[in-house]
Amino acid sequence: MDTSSTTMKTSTKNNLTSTSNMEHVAAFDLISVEGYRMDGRKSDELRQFRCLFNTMSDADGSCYLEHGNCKLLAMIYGPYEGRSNQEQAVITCDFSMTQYCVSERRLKTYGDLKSQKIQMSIQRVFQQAILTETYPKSQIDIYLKILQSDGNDYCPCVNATTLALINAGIPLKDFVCSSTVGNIQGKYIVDLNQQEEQQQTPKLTLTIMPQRNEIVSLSCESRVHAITYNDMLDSATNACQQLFSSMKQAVIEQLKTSLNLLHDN
Amino acid sequence: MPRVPVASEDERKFIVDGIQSDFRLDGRTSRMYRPVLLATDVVNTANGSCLLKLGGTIVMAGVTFEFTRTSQESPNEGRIEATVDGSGCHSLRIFGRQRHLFTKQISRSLNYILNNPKCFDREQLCVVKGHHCWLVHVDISVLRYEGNLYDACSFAMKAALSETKVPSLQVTHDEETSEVTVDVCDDPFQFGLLNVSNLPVFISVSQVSGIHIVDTTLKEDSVTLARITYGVKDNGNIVYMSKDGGGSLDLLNLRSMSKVASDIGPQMNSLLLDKIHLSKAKQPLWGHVNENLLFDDINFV
Amino acid sequence: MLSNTNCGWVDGPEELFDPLQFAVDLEMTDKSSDNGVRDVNSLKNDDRVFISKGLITKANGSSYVELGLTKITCSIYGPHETTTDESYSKCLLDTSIKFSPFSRPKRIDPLRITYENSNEMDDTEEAELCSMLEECLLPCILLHKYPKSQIDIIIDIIQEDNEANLLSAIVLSTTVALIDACIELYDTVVAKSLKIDSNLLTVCYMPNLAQVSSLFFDGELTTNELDKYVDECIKQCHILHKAICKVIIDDLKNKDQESKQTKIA
Repeated sequence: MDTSSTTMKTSTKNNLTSTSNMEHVAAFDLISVEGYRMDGRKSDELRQFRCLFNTMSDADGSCYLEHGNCKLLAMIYGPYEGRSNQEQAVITCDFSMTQYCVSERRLKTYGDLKSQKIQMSIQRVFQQAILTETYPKSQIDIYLKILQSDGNDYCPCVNATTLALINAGIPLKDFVCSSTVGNIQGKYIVDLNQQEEQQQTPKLTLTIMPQRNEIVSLSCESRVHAITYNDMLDSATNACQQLFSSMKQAVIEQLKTSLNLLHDN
Repeated sequence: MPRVPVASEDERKFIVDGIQSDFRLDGRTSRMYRPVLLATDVVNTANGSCLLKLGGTIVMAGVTFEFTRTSQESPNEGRIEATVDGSGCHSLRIFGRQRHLFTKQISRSLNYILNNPKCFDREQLCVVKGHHCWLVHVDISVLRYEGNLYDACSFAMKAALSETKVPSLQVTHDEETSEVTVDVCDDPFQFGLLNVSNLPVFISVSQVSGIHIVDTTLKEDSVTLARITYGVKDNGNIVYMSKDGGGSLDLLNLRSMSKVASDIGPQMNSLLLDKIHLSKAKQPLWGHVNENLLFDDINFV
Repeated sequence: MLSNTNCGWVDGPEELFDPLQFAVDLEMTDKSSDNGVRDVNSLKNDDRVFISKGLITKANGSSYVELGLTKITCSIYGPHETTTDESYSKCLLDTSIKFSPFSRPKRIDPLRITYENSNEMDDTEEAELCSMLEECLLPCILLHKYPKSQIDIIIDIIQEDNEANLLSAIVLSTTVALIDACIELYDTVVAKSLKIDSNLLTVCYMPNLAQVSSLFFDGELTTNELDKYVDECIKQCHILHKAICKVIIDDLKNKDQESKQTKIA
């Protein structure tokens, strides 16, 4: 995956997919001549990723995540004795937003089609990632609250939930990292923000377990050429690996501070 | 305030005994509030916002502006509404189905003080008399509930409104066609501020076995028989009053409770104002990223 | 009574009464009585009260109240078994208040749908009045006497005079209907609203226990002024209380006489 080969492929593909080329024209100023994006990032650069643990004292695990302009809270309640009698833990997800999280005021903060969809997919992703067999007949609740949205809500939600689950001490198979990649002006740009999200360009959302090299979920709801698709997948994997390293660092730092605190006492 | 059994029989006795000897569960006296911590201008998508912690209760308020026509009844006034949203809050789940009624009641109370002409001047929201005005939404999301949501919401609302940036407008009046066109200025440095000096805060006074306490926690709520929420202005005048809790009160109690509220109200008002000023000074310059994370302790004042 | 309400078949009234039989017309102020003839001037008096009970025979208890020009009926069904599994130890109150389409100068659309317990904007005036009414009734009903059951209170506002009178009339009618339904009460609760300038104060008061069950205030007053207002409201409440007492005692006397007559027959 060296960069020279990708640029080679890009040029050939552009001749093949002429219609998508037209769409690129509409988004002409998203990447400057020098190769910088609207917010000054390089095409393979992530937005600023910062997080804070233990924000809600009554939750078993919680995490406040700021990813670019996206601000959200993830809280984990459980595992506690649930109603179901299953051999593995049941995972529920509650996704809500604030009315003012987007520039156009939202009327509904909870239970609309979009949030139901996110709830479902978060539930499905973490049903696979959590070692649910360790908690029979119990339940784990994931609460997500978007305070400020920056385009895609799903990816930060997955990342924040992973961190909150780690904070809660719930055994996971691996980190779960999620990122998006788009194809604008023949370039693969990762971690789209709201402006880039709104363009009519092909985009792909990838959720992986980085240390096991497993894809947990993958969605691509646009017409993409097969060659482009592979490249997009590659750069999305790259972005997820980058995310993983910053998430891991955050977890280790949090662990260090808490251990130091113990040491001081 | 729906009554929820979060404390056992013995624990309730312990709480009541503590209150009677003026030493509450967390060491406060009967007239003391939990620490108020706030951070303003926390969300970029809202015109004004505030994150407020009142002990364990955490609320976030956001103010957004919408452009509408004036109503026929009051042609030179704008409109303002408050909503309280308890969705996605785990600690509010103890109320079950009454959760919506509870949050709705708070938003109703907030709307009463916002629409009281003696508390908030709605004429400042009018853009063109009889034509256009602002519709201001004050949305309050409950992130965590640990008692006294009324007061926390009113504090957050006042803090958010006091730092709200009103988009500046350019009104051009065409003499010939008598058409009025309104354009929003693009310059982010041009904005107006709302006058919220008269806006009251809520002071909830609860009665527990003959003693009046303020700022009850969730556990203290389970021993509270009756509670009156007062809207108190900075001069001590009472502008709103409503009762909840399902108990009854005699006249003597009623009097001393309103005394308590009008004593504490101005204090809380000035405390809140100080905090708002401190928080404003702490805000990063426009266009600069806040170095601190939103929930970081450094961010609060 | 219960079988009557459950059969779903209404044969019409079981007996026919002269409405005047129930009517106890009270002149609350010292004005000279108008000998049963209602002229427009006396009707404009806000203090004029007309109370009758037992209006709707199919209900367990009912009442009809006129306060000034405000006309309200209240019917009570229950206590009957509750359908919800929320509270077992105590009785639930289910209040519903409905404005008739012609209750105000401007027509109220009866088809306006109100969703209950939903996230929708159901912030109607009815919902607000309901919560106020419940708050004021909770201290006065012996709810623990009716475990696992609920009481339905249905109020129809036939005509509204002014907003100051409304809650007062609603509480009055509910109290009379509760007594008619033979539900155990600590005391009769009466409400009076005072509207002076832009200050609106409503006090719900239980005269025998000398307890305030609920109060609401909107306006601006100092504490001393507020105390004076409350005192004035309570004074008025005492007068209303006398009116209720008179209706109930008269009704009891009537029934007593009837039963004696039937015995003789």
